Amino acid sequence: MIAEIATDHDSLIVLIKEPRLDGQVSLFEFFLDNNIIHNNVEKIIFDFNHVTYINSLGIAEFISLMRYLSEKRPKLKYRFVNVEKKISKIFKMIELTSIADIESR
Amino acid sequence: MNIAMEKNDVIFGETVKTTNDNRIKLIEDAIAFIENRKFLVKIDHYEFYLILDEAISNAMEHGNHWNLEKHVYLRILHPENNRLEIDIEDEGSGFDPDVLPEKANGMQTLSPRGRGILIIKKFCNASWSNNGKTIKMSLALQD
Repeated sequence: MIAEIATDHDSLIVLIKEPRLDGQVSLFEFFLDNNIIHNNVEKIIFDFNHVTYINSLGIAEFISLMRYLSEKRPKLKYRFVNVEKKISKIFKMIELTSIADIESR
Repeated sequence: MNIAMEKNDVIFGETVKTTNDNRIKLIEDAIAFIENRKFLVKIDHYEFYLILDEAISNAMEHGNHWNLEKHVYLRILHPENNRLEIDIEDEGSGFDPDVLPEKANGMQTLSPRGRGILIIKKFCNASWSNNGKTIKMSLALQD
């Protein structure tokens, strides 16, 4: 399984289980297949505790997913937590910070 | 092969078909060669791995469109002026590097290829030849 899902009040917590996000697994399809956005969810938290590597193909998965979700739920907010510093540096570089809060480990 | 490149300048070369396993193999083979020759680039290992991945992924995804019959070529040239040059070439139809973005744009219109190239340009000097089918990455070496 790509990720484990939990809910906490108005937040959906997505614990990413894949250490490498390089376009070979589809988070987008995982979300569509599992129909996991409920009406009371206002925030999606992606937990990067297990993630050690991401490239632009992996980042594109998140962008596609957030773009898709934001069309359906424009007020959804996004957070990336437990992000390795080397990865958060890349996120800042490509200005992912403009669409999500990034918290490093 | 770029005709401007002298054969003797190439100290490492590898050609692979376009598969995900070969993408990773090509990255790891290039890094192993560079480490074995004790060339120390100024960027850290993660950044070096990432830009090789971005260039090879771009070649396989946007150049060759994951066509298994198409190849990706990687060449490392003998260092000059304390810089290491790595060339990666695909067999796609090329693209116009002049339209590449200088800046990311959050969730908006940045193309999939553009995001990878933006990362490459942050960590090395990158240029294109051969109608955009060959990327040349020039990396500073440690003194």
